[in-house]
Amino acid sequence: MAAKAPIIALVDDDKIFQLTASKTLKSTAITDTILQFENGEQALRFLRDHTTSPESLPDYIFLDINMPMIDGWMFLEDYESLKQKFSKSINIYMVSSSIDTRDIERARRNANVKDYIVKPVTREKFLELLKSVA
Amino acid sequence: MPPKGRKIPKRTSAKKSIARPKGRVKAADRTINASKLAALRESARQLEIILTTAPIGIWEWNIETNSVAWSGKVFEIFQLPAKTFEKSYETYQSLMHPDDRPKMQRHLQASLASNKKDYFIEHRIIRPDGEERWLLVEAVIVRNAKGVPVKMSGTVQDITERKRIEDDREDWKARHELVSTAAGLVIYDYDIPSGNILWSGNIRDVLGYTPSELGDVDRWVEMIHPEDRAEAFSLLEKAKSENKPYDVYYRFSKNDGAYCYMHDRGVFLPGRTGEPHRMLGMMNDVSERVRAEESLRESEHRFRILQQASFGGIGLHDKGKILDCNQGLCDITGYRYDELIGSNGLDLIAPEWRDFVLDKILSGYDKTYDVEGIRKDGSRYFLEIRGKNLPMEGKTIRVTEFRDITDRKVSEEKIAEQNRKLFAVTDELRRKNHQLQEFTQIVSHNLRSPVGNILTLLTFYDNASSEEEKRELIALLKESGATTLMMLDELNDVLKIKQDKNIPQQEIVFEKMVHQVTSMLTARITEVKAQITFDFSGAPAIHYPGIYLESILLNLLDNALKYHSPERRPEIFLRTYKDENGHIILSVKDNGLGINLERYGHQVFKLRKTFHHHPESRGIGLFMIKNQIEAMGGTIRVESIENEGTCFFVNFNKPHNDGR
Repeated sequence: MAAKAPIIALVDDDKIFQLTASKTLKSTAITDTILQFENGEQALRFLRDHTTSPESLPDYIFLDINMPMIDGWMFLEDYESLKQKFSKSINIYMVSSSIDTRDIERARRNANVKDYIVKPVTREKFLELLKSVA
Repeated sequence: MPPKGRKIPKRTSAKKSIARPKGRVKAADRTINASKLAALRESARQLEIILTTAPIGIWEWNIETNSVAWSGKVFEIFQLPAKTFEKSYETYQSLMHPDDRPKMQRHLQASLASNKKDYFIEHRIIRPDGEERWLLVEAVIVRNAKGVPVKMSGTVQDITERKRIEDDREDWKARHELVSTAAGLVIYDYDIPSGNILWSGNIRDVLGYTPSELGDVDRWVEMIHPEDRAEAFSLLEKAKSENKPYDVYYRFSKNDGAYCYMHDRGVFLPGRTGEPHRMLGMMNDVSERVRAEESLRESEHRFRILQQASFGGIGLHDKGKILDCNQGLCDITGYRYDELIGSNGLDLIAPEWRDFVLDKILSGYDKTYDVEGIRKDGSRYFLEIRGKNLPMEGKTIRVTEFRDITDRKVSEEKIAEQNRKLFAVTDELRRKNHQLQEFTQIVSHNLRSPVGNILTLLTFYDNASSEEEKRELIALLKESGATTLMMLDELNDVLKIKQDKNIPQQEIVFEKMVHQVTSMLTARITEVKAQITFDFSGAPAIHYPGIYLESILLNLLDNALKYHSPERRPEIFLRTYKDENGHIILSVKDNGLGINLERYGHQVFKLRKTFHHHPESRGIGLFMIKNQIEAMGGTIRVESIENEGTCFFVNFNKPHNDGR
């Protein structure tokens, strides 16, 4: 990770989460490059538009479940067919306030999801996640 | 064989014997004195008369000269032409049947060698035409003073017919023995005056006795089983006095001490006075048959007991016509046995079921099936029928079992009722479980989310470096607090719906309610220039909670207005009608943006789900009304085509099996 700071994407319709999460991430000094998407549709559109430019694609996606229009699950469905075109791998974390075991199980079963994180996410948690992959 | 020294003549010329008997006699026996000769002459004359008419040939054989004399009848008997015949003993021998020749020669020799005077033999000859005939030869042997045979004189008769009758009789006797033996018959010939009985037939095999061990009529009576004796005897006396055939069954003692069943049949032959003086008959051992009949009777008896004991009704019928039945069928149908026999079994079935049953009968259906029966008194009952075709005496009859299953039907109804309730309860539980899951989701997603934010913001606040930053964070905290409260209010509303099953209902006129709701939405309707039309003729009013119906109409109309297409003037059409089940349906159709149901169909009625980037999307409305509709036992569904429009269907009356 020394060469380049990772790109992080936040996909969540909760404005307050977007705000607090990006502040927390910036405070870790790992990266300044944070992409913010209000829902799955926006995020997918970005990924499609940057398929051929790996330097612009995020290294990490923090994905919410409950979003209007395209929610987290639907995003994952579309991502499955989209990822073939990417020249780099993206680490997806499911981030939700839901502590419903059915949601957790469902996320764990999905091969594209690295882990399921329950909100709120602390600074330490973000650090741990980013380090573990790095 | 004739001894060498003895010439064996026999025959004599027929012509001579008939025409000149005197000369023959003279020549034959010179030792006879005159008076005797005269007597002989006289007797010969008489004989001549007889012989010319009777079929008896006369012959004479002079042994010393071996000359033979035959009467004409002899030639007839032998069917020989008199002229060509060389009259000698050898010629006679040559005509004899080869099988009889040795016997005859032995007998002749023995007779001649003895001092016997008479000679008698029956033997066969073969005539020139090849026919075999039986002859009876009788003669007198004449001896000289030294006792040496010198002459034989005799007669010959054709006894073929008599022999045939005798043979026939022997044949019949043999056949009679054979048949009576094979048939196991004991034959008797009872001489009534003396009481003696002549036994024959297969006595040994049938009874184990020899014929002599069976005795007279008293012995016969003794041998009859004591219990049958008096009757067998009195019937015999009766048959005798009436001169009618005797035909009686009784048990008869065998040599081994056991009794067999005898079938005794006899007839009486009248004597000269007309009184029966003789009885002929036969006894036949019918033990096997009697035993078989007894066991058949027993088995029939058992079957009848079984049939009567059966709790069902059993009938035998031929294409519906009842041939026999048990008491059970009488009990079930209320008819008497004699009323059922010969009647049409279909009359026991309720009229509307008769064709159905007839079809089963004709097709030979052999499984159980349920119909309705009708009793004699006209009352009806649930009836289970099972029939089976069985071959009987060359035709097919049907055995049908009737079972009154009213009790079972009632129980079945009860079980079905319980089942329905159970299903309803299960249904309700499933629905509640589903709602519970929904609440978990709501609490988990929608309530935790703002609370989590509040906690995060408070952490930020603690670490805030400036007053300005703190002010910003306070504003965000207020917002999160407000969101949390709103969420709690909405949840509370939904919870109220779930609990409020006994919400008051009233008769609501759709048109009136639509006016009330559109007046609440006047501003927006005016703003988007929406055209709202309706047709409530199919179901003008409904008995329903007013506040729910208001909420349903408000949300659906609001939804239709909110997601109108900017490309066309919003048109909303409301309609009520009754479906095929008589349930009231409300449809709300718009020409708005529409929803891609393939993609978002599963989320339509979920809380906090929106499918449009609309500033006012909150996602509570559809979730709320769905809960209201379902709480009242109805359903809601949606049809939509993107960019063409959406139509919601509310079925208010879908039967709500909640078990109450």
